[in-house]
Amino acid sequence: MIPRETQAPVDEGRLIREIRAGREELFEYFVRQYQRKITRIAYRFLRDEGEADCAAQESFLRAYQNLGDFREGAAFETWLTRICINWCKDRLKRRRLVVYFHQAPVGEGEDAASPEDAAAHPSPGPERRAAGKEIRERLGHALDTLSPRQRSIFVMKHFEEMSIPEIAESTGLDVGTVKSHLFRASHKIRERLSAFRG
Amino acid sequence: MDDTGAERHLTDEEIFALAAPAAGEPEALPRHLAHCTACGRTLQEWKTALHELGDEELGPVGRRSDEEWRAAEDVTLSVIRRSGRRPSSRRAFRWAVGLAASLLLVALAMPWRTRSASPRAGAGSAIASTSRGPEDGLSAADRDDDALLRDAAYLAQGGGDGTGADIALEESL
Repeated sequence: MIPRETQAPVDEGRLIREIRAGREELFEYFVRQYQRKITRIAYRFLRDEGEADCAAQESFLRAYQNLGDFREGAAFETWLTRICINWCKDRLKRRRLVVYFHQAPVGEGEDAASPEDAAAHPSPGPERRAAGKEIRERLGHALDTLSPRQRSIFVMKHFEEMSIPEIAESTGLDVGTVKSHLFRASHKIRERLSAFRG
Repeated sequence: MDDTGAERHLTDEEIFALAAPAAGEPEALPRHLAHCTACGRTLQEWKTALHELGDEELGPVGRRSDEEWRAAEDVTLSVIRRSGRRPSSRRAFRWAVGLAASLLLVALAMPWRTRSASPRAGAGSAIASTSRGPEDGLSAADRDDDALLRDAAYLAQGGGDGTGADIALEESL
């Protein structure tokens, strides 16, 4: 049985060594463990469910086939995330070239709170729910003022809860640059919130 | 004790800074929060809103059930199995090949370099390749990435007037 997240911590380095040695079926652990996260990250970049699934599959496939390149002692999750982000960037480049003017607005109608959302996030009462909705709208508008790079790093940090070193490793940026983007993003959002208040 | 600071309610900007610390590390909580339940509740609301916004942005992916995730994982596993390629474990071998090739190149280049009358050309290209750091601290690759992400976000939102003329506009970070 493949170990899952809720069970005892798994020595992923040892697992990778075993896979390299021929126990390829053990790779299932990594798929079960990280598919959700990788798909979520891909979706945040690509904004398309099908493409996000495709990105996740391709990322795992590349990771599997290039397991020999995996650096001993590194975090598999970070390595995989980097593969995924690079795949998404390639995909976006192609999309920019090929379907430049045919991209339908994605997420229209999805942004509004649906009944499913309400069920997924039960709140104590209508007053608090309204307050939460207002905050989300203000935050959403403030996020729109960020540059794409700032936004993607902010999202990785605060929505995907990645650490700064993980973001740096995944994006190929310096830790200092990531911090700088985060600082500027936060500053912009605070400015925007201040402007809302008028 | 800073009475004025302690009595004043936190602004939205201050609450946001606590809910999403800029440096990524939790900031020290203001003393005011220790005895102001209203601000404490507001902070909790902001944290919740941030979390929910993150989920909202995930659209359909965020609403998948465990069964749907399981099915997606199974598809990935079948793609891997169908690929037929085994994981490469020849990294050390590739290193050796790379090292040998490099040594061979150096060995071949040595006689040429000693006879070459223009050593500055090589130095010039080396400088060119390492001195791309622009004034704003971003590399050319960083700027390319940024432009790409901006365009993608723009397209994803259905932006543009169809001419594409406004897509490549750069915004300084």
